[in-house]
Amino acid sequence: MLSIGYVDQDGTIVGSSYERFNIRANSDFKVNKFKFGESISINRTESEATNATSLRSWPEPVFEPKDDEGNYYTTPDGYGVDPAQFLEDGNRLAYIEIPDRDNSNVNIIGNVYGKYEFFPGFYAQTSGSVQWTYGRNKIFTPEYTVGHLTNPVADFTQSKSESYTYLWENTLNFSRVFGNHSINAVAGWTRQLNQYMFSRLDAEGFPDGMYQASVAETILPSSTSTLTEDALESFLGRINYSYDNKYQLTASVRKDASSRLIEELREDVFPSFSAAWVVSEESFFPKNSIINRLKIRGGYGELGRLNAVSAYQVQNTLQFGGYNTDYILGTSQELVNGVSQTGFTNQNILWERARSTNLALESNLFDSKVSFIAEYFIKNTKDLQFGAPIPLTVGTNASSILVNAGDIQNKGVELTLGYHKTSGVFKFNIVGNLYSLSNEVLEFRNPDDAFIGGQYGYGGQNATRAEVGRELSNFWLLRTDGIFASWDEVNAHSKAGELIQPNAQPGDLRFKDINDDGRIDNDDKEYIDGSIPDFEYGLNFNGTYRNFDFGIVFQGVVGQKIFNGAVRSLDGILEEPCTDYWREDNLDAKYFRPSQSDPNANRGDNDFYLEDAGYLRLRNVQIGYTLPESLLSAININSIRLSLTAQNLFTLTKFSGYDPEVVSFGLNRGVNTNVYPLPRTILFGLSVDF
Amino acid sequence: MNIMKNHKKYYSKLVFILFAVLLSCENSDEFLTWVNPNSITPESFWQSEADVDKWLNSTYSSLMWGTGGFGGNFTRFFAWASVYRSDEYKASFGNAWGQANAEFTMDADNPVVSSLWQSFYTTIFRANNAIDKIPGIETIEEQKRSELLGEALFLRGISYFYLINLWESIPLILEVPVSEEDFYPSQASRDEVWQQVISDLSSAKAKMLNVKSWDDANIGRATWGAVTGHLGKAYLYQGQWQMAANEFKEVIDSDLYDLVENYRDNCNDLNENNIESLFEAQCNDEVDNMFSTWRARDGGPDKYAANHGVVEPWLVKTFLEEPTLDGDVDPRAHATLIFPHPDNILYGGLTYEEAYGTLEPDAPAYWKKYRNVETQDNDASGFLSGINIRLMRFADVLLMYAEAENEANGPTESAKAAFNRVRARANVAPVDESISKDDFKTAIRRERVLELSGEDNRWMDLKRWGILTERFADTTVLSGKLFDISRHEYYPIPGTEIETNPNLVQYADY
Repeated sequence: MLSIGYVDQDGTIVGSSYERFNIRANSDFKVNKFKFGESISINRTESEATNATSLRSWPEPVFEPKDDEGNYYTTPDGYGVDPAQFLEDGNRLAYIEIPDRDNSNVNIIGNVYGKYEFFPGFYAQTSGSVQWTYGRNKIFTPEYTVGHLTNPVADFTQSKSESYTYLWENTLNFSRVFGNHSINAVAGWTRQLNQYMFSRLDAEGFPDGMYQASVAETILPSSTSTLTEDALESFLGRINYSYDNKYQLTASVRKDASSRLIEELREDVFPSFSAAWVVSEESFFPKNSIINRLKIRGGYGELGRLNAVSAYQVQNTLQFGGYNTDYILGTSQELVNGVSQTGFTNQNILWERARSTNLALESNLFDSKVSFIAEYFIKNTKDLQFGAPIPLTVGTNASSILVNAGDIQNKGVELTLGYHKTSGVFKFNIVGNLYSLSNEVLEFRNPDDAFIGGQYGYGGQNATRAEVGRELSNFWLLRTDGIFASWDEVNAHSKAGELIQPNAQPGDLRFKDINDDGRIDNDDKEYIDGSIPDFEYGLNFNGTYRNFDFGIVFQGVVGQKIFNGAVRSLDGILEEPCTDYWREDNLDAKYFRPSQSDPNANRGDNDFYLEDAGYLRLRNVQIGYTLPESLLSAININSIRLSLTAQNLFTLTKFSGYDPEVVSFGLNRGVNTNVYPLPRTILFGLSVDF
Repeated sequence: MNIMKNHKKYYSKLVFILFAVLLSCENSDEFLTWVNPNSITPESFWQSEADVDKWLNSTYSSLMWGTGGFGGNFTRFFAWASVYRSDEYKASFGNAWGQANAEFTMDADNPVVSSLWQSFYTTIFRANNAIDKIPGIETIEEQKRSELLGEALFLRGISYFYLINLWESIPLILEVPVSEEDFYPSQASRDEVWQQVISDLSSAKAKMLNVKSWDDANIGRATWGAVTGHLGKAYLYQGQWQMAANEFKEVIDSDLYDLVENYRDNCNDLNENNIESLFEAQCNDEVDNMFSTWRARDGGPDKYAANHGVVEPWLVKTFLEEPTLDGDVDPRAHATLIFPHPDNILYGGLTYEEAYGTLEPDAPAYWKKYRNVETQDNDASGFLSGINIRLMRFADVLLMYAEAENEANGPTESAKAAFNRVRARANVAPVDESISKDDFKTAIRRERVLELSGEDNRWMDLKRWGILTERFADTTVLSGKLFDISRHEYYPIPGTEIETNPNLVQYADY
C-alpha cells in the first residue's frame, strides 16, 4: 500500500508559513508458518521559524511599521507616544522580517516484524522499529540598522538535531476458544532506547551575500553539541477471558524500568484488571425492542509515568560557561570561562502512578437507533512529579526541585447519547456528549505545602495556588470592588483613620480588605473556583444524502473562568483598554486609569482580570460530494470525492482574549498568557481513488 | 464438564506461571545505565588550580547576576537600590517596578528585590562550594590553596555585607546544601551576620597577604587591598571606628594605591583597574552583552539615553558652592554631572547649551558619571556600556579613614591629611587646621557627596548615619516623599522566598 500527501500553508502571523510532504508504504509476506512484513513512512516539513507568538505582543497597534514606500519607520510617527519607549522596543516588524529563517524536518519511521506460528492460536512475534527525526534550524541575520534595532555584524546560527528511537518488542501470543470459553494471553518483553543528538554552530562576520561558516570571520564559542540517551525496559503480561459473550475479564501487569531514575528506584510494577457483563445476553433478560443491548463494565488500572523526569535528571551536573557563569578578567578584558552548579537534583524521585477506576453502563435502545453510554471515573495521580519551588537562597538558580509532591484526584462523569439513522436515502448520526470533571489535591508530602502557579507578566506574578483540599489550579486573587471615582472614595477606604490603599488615586481599583487589617496584601487573597469548567459538551452531526455527505462538530464549555494574564501585558494593544479607560469624562469606564508606574498595582493578582470564559464553538463543518460511479467507470477511476471544510467558523464567548480554549495544565490551568490565535480555515479537498 | 474443569486448572496455573515469570524477570542494568556525557559532575570536578579558577570566575560573575532582558546586580540593580532610592536623584522611570522601587511604593514582589537577593545568594552558594572544596585539592601547593580560599571567603564576606545592609534580617548560609532539608534556612540575627562578614574578611585578609596584585591576565580579581578595604568598611558601618581606621591605615600605608590625576578616570572605560581602584566589577560590552552594564543608559541625560529622572538640585548646588583654588568650578562637577554650565560637555564634544538650548541654572541636571561621553555619541542606541563598576576606590578609603579616625580620635593630623589628599586632587582648599570634630564630620559627609555621588554609596551612608528620614523630609530634596523609615529602611524579603520557605519572617508591613 502506498499513500502520498502534500500541504502548503501561510500562517496568520508574519513569518510562519509551513509546507509538508509525506509518503507511506507497507507490505506483508507469508512463508509457511513464518510471516513477516515491513512498513516505512517518510515525512518532510519546511517552515519559516519566526517565534512570532512572543513578538506579536510587542508592537503598539497605533504604530505604522512602514511608510508608503515600504521603508521601516524608526520612530513612532506622530502618535504622541513616548519615543524612548519605542526606541526600547524597536520596530518589531523589521525584527521579524529582516532575518532569514528556515526550518526543515524529516521524520522516517521504519518497522519490520517476524511472526512464527507454533500451532494455530499460539505464535511468537518479534518486531523492531526505528524512528529517525532530523531537524535543521537556520537563522541568518544580515548587518542592518532600523533605528534603535541594529545588528552590527551579520550572524548565522544553524542548529541540527537528530533523534533515534529504537523499539524492540517480543511477544508470545496465545488465543483459543473452547466452546463458550475464549481465552487470549500475551507475554512480552520490550526495550526502548532514545538517542538525541544536538549541535549548534554560531558564526558571525560574512562577505556580502554569503553565510556559510566556512567564510565566517569568527566561529563563536557558544557553538556546542550534546548527546542524550535514555532507555526503558518492560516485561508485560495480559490475559483476556470471556464466556459466551456475556462475561469478560482482563488482567494485566507490567514491570517498567527506566534509566532516568536511580538504580534502586528505577523499576516498578503496574497492575490492572477489568470486567464486563453484557446483561442483555442473559437468558433472563427479556427480548424486547426498547433495550436491545445493555452492558456494565468496570475496572481498575495503574500506569507509570515519567513525564516530568528527563534523561540524566537524577545526576547533579555542572554548567560550563554561559550566562551568569563566565566573567571578564585581565587588562584586555577578555572573557574567561566559568563553571558552576546551576541546578539541584532529587535522586529519590519515584515513578508517578496514575490509578484509574471506572464504572460504565452502555446501552443500545429502540432498535439500536439510540446509543447511550454513562461512565463514572476516578483518576488519581499518586506521587505526582512536580517541580516544587525552592528558595533563591539555595543559590543554584534553579527555581524548583523535582519531587513526588503528593496525590491529586480527578473524578467525573461522561455521558454520551447518540441517535443513528442507518437506512433510507438520508442516513445520519447525531452524537452528543457531556463531560464533567472535578479536581482536588488529596495530599501533599508536607501537609502545609502550598504551591503558587499560573505565572504571567514578569516574575513574581501568579494567579493560582494549590493546597490540600482544593483544586490544583485554584485561582488565588485579590477581590476588587470597582474603581475609585474620586479622592473622597479613596479617602473613605480606610481603617482606623489610615488609608487602606495609600498609593491609590481616583481611577484605580478598589481592593477588598478581606482580613480587615487595614492593608492590602497576600492575606487578602481569596480562592476562586472556575479554572476547571462545570462541564464540557460536544455535538457531532454527520450523515449522507445520496452522493452528498456532511459533518458538523460543535464544542463548548460551561462555567469556566480564565485569568486573562495576556491583557496584563497587552493592554496597550487591545482596543478597549485604550479607549474605555477611567478619566474625568468617563467615570463608569471598564478599565482603570492608565499608569505606567502603577503604584496601586492595578495590573496585579486580582480578579479584575478574571473573566467568564464559557464558549460554544463551531469547530468543523464539512460538505462532500462523491461523483456517481457511472461517470467514472469509463475512465478507470474508482471514486472521486470533492469536499469543502470550514474549521473554527465561529465562537460564542464573552471572553475578551484571542481564544477561550486556553491550553495550559496543572497549576497553570485557566491562566491565559500568550496563545497563537486559532485560525479560521477553509479547505477545499479533492480525493481520487484509482 | 470434566474437560472444562481440567482446562480451568490448566489455565489458572498458566496465569500464575505467566505473572510469576514476568515479575521475576531481571531488568538489565547495563541497558538502563546511561551516564551524562554532556557535563562534568560536582564529584569529578575540583582537581586542579584551573578548576578552582573557573569556579571562582563564576563566583565573581554571579555578583553581576541577572536575567537576559533586564540586566543584573552590579550591572544595573544595585544602582537602583542605592542611587535611585537616595536623595541624589529624582527618578521618573517608564518602568513600573523601577519607579515603585525609587519612590517607595514597591511591594515584596518587585523584581529589583529578588534580583539582588538572588545575585548575592548565588554568589554565596558558589563561594560556599569553593570554601568546602579548595582545602582538599592537594595538587595545588598549600600557599596558593590558601590564597584561593581567601578569594572565596572575600566574595562570601562582601555578599553578606551587602545583604545585611539592604535587608534587616537574612539567612546565614555557610555550607553547601546537601539534601532538601537544607533548603529552608531561618533568619540569623544581625550580629551573627556582621560577625560572619568580619570573620570572612579577616580570614581572607590573612590568607591573601601576598596577593597584592594580579598579572595582566588576571587583573580584576580580589587582592589583599580589596579585602582590607572592605574589612575596614565593615567595621566602619558597625561604628567600630578604631578597628575601621586601622584597616584603612594599612591600605593607605601599603603604598599600593594612589589617586589618579584625572578624576574622570574613575568613571569611564578609558583607564579601568587603575591605581586608585581597589575592586571593580568588570564589564566589557564588546565581548558579549552579558558583561555590559545598563548604567550608562539608565537614568542618563534626556535625549542621549533612556532618561529616568534628574539629579537633585541640592546636589548640583553643593558642587557649585565652593570654587577651586583657581576660582573654577570643582572639576568633579563636570566629571559627575551634566548640568547647565558653559563648560559642561556631553557626548561628542557637545555643550549643555548646544544640547538643550538653555543655561538657565534650574535646567535639569543628569548623571555623566558612568556615561560614555568620551567614546560615544549617545548611550541610547546601544543598551549597554563597558564601563567597569568601581566597587571601592582609594578616594573612598581616604574619606572612610578620615571619618573613622575622626570618630575614634578626633580630627588628627593623619585624618586631615587623608581628607586633604582627596581635596587636593580637585584643587580645592585643604581643611581648616583647627577644625572641630563635629565640623570635620560635617565636612567629610559633604566631601563624600562631591567625591562619590552616583557611585552607590549614598543610600548606605545615609542609612548608617541615621539620617534617611531627615534628608527625605528636607524641603530641598525632591525625592522620597513617601519614605517611611519603619517600612523602607530595609527591603522586604522577596515575596517568592516567603512563599517557598516557611521558616522566613517578612520585614515590617510587607
